[in-house]
Amino acid sequence: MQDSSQLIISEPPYYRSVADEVEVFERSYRLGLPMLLKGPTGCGKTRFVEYMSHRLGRPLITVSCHDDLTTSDLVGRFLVRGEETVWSDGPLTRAVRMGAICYLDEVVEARKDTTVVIHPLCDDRRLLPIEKLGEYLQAPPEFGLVISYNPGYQSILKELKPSTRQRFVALSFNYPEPVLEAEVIAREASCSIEFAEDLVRFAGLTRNLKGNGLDEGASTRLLVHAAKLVASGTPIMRACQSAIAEALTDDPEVIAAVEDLAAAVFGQCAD
Amino acid sequence: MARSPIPRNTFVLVRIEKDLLRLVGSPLSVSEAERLARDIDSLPRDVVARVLAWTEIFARLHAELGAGFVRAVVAIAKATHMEGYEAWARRAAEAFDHRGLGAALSVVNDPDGFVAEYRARARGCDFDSCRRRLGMWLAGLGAPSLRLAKGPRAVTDTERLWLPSAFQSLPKPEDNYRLYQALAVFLWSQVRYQTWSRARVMDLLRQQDLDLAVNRFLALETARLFQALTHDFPAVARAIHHLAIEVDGHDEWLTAPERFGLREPPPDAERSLVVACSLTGAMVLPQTPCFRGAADLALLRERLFSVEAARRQRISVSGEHPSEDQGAASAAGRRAPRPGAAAGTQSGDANSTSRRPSRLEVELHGANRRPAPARPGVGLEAHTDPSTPDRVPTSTTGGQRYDPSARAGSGVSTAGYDRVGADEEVEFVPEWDHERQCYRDDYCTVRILPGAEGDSLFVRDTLERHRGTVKSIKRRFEALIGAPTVDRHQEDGEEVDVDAMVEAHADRMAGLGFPEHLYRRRVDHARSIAALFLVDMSGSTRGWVNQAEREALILLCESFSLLGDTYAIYGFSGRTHKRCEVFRIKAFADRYDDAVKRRIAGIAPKGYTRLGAPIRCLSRRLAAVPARHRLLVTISDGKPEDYRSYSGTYGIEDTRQALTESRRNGIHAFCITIDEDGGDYLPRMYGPANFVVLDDVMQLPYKLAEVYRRLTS
Repeated sequence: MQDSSQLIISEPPYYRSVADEVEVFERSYRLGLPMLLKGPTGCGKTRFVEYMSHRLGRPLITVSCHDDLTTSDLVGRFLVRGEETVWSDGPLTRAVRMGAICYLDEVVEARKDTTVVIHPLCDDRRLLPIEKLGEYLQAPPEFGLVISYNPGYQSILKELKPSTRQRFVALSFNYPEPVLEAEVIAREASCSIEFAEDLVRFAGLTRNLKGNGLDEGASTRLLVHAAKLVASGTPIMRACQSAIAEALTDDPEVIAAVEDLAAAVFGQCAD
Repeated sequence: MARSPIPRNTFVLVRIEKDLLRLVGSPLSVSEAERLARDIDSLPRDVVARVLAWTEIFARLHAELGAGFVRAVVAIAKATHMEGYEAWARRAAEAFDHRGLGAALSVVNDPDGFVAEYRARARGCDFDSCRRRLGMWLAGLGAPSLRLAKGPRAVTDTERLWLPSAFQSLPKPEDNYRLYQALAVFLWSQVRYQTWSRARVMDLLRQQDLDLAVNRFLALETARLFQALTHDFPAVARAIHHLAIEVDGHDEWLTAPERFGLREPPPDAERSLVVACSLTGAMVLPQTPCFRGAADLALLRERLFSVEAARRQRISVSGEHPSEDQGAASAAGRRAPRPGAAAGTQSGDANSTSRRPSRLEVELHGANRRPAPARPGVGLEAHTDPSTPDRVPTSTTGGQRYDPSARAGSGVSTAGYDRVGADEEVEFVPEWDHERQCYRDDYCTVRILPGAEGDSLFVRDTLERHRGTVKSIKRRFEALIGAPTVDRHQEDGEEVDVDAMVEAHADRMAGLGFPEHLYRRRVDHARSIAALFLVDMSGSTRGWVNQAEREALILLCESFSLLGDTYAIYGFSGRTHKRCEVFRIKAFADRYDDAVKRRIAGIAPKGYTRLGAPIRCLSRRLAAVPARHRLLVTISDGKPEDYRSYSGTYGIEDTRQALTESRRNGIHAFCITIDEDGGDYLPRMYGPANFVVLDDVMQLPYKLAEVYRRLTS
């Protein structure tokens, strides 16, 4: 099993703050308040959590939630080893024991009967009940819980229960301002700032199509992908097609419209 | 698509010949029938069957028509690679239906004309097929948001953009699409960079030689707009330039400024106009480029004047509620789409439409109504999050069905509903008075009646026009049909859950009891969703909005069969609390049949938008449907408003209360609106994430299905 030192992020992740999110997170952490991060996909929520973990010097344990996730997957289970049974902590329990930051990504994907296990950790009790051990684990002050999801307009079939969401301090994320976003892309993809600015312009045009053919415009992450492809020698229009248009949608007309927008920024025969 | 002809078969040949003679009769001689049979026999087998079927159809209509068809069909089939003969046959049939035998004979007797047109269309690009892509491209470029429509000329009125039905002059479809793009973006740029204003249109109309003045003005504007595009969208400008060289063979339109004695294009449209109108003497204007389109001053004047009228209405400080005639008109004017937001910022300009604070607007139309003081324990804070249900008084009455004998003399107005038709219902529902902080019991009289039937051709035309969108919607809906999944850790099921068994074994070895949840059960995720679509039929929906509503419902219903969801469609309108009308377009129990389609086609604008009453009335119906999830989707073009006092805060609060009551009954409410000010009041009524504001009403056909897909995925 990994020890906490292996889960500490030693290299500082690159993150540029856009407002006071760093201060809000730090204060909430020190007050023992859990955090809810909301925002579109690829806008920097996970990177922010990594950054804050490094900044606070705490290990980070990430769980990608899905609808097959059970309470045992989070809390732990007995395993049979030879003739013995051995208790194996789940990621949530490990995080509590080592005073780590536990990050539940896309928490609405998990079943509601699974997510309720975090309730005692999220209020003033800060307790994790481990029923199979008959144990109540008190979370140390260093423990922090962070959950994230993409609100959009929520499906009526998948919603965060009020009893869950009202336990958290929430931060809303969005794509950075164009100047900052270009700097992030140039840094992540090692490309020129001018090209990064053009990519951001292109992303802005695709974001105008949110709700009009696209669920979301191009995220910062997709722009980084495209920039990396171009930096490795892929022609620009091909990179925009593969990394952005085809990733955003399967609708042929919308793909064509997004490629038209790429041509509007880079020119039809850009290379 | 090449297909190999079927082998010759004498028996088949004879049969075809006999069929032709039987179907068509005397117009065909035996020898001609024999020759035609050999020609038809050379076609692929599936095509032969279709040709004979069409021959029978036409021959039934008229023998000459059958003969004309069968004489020309083989040539057309071969010339169009077996793809175009069906379209030709349909055209002839429609010509017969709408214009008679002569028109149909004109079609079948001109196969060369059809083939030429077909070939031109094959290399061309038509508006209907590229409209969506073009619309999204323009939307992506940003404001202004213009609606696209088909028209004889390429013009704009600063709110809409008309383009020709097809382009075929360039060799390939993609080239002809570039022509559409160039025209569209140039007309769009006229709005973005403020070529047109009411004052400038009037100044042009006052010129002695109107055509000359307009041509000079547009020549200068072409250069100015091209320069602006070069600055903001250099790649787009390059593409336009390249296309103009390709199509026109020149770019002399760039020389317009120097022909007017200017070193560079004018800085703004006002300067273009001054220069164009002040120049005396003859001059040679540059040739018009292919992408410039035309200018329709009458259209512009009408549009810009209506925008100005709407703007004046909004800043009216009378504080009085508009009279009935004014109310509907002002509502229509207020909701008239304005020109692109980016264009609306010239100071003192008639088409300047900067946003007004919503609070000011609410107060102006609320007859100086002040919000009631908060009652103890029920502060404003309790009302700010519609996701948490507010207190709903338990003493509400409502849902009383109409009983003339009970109501007679009770003082409750029946508003002329004593005669209730066999297929009509009347209910009394309460209304929430936010000032009194209580309900007005049985205040609204709601009449539920069947919707009027419209023309079934509307449905056919809609499906034809939106065939690409229908396919896209169906594809996306197919993804919602969940495959069966497996629930683990169940008390019983078809299979043993091995993971649970392993875990149970470990738990038992650790001294814990043996759990019972050791099975896996296959779950067929049949969707259990009931949805009710509530369609605004107020007078302000006249025109584009009404058309978009009907088209959106058609597209949605066509795709619903895939999902198996239970759904209903009702329209609403009315005037005052005594005459709230709810129109039954499709009840939950109705199948999506021709009658429903005609009722959708028959949705027409009527009165006002008293929203609380239909929500209460229909929420009861929706709550009674056995389904795990219930959804109420309202399609509206503006905030709640009715004659005499149901407006502003009062209307919003009553609607909000009605939606709160629905949520308590487990109904999830969502609103789709084209009211650009919707963001001001919809969060209060529906919640911050339960509405969407469309920039362009023509997005509605696609957007409605997309919203439904998102909400129920």
